[in-house]
Amino acid sequence: MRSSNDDIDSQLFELRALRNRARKRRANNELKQAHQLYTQAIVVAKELKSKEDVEKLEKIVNKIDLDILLDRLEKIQLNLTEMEWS
Amino acid sequence: MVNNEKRVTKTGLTKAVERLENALKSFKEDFDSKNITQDDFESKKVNLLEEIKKTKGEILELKDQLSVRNEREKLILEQLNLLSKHFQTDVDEDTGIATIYFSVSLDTHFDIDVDCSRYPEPPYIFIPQTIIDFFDGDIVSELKTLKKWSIKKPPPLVDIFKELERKLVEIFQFENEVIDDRDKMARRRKLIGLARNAENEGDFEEAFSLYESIVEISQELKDKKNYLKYKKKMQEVEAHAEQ
Repeated sequence: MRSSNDDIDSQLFELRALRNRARKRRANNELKQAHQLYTQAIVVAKELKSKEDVEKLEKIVNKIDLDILLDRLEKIQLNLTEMEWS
Repeated sequence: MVNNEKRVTKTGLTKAVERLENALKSFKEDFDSKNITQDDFESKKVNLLEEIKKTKGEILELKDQLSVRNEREKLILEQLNLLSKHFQTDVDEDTGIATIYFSVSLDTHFDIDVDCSRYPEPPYIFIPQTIIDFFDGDIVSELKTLKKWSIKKPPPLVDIFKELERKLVEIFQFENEVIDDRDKMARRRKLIGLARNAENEGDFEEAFSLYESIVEISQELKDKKNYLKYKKKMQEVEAHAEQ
């Protein structure tokens, strides 16, 4: 029979696994996939009522959002620099 | 102009980027339809590039603000840096997770992920399946550093991994020795076949030299029974050779 401790252990494992997968995606610059996995991790951290984890993960998600904005700016910049009056 | 205080939030910056994307789109349309003079083109391009540079600066500033660490995060980072000095490591400062690269022999390497985000609580070690399959039992629960862990007085993280490395080297060295012994036994079997053929064909000198190699391998394998058996064979073929 499963106890509530088993549930917590399995949720904690899920949180760790999601966080680990997410950081690997982020390291490979797969920002959207990383964002998705971190968002899932936040849901698990909330279920675990771990305020510290939620705060930390939200910070990371915000940083990824900013990295995505930087990528968009890079694209605009590239487009502009390629435009030449001829 | 948008108020700078309002702009330097994630929402404000997202709007600024959207505005720049739209500005680029209409600038391109004007450019393609030649609906713009060269002077206007040049000045608009410069303005847009400046706006991009400014927005980038603001994004980086906000990212820096998000990177401010609390005391616990500083402690974790300190521990991870110490880990990096001893092992080849990829550290993710945001999550407190690291990948440690272990080389336990010339051709046996492992990447082990470690979640240290709850330090001073003990770290969580993601043991790769290859080690789980190989090691009979839970290698992590056998680590003394973890068994004696105290949250009030936690040992440096690096101590766990020094111990884990020693254990892995020990296990895989033993495995390599076993493989080495298997190779020697296979080689000996082949030599026994060749020695018997040489003996049957009356080539006693060749048989002597082959039995000599068999004796050497038996000695290396600490196989006393076969050592004595083939030593005796050596003497027999030596006697034949002298006749």
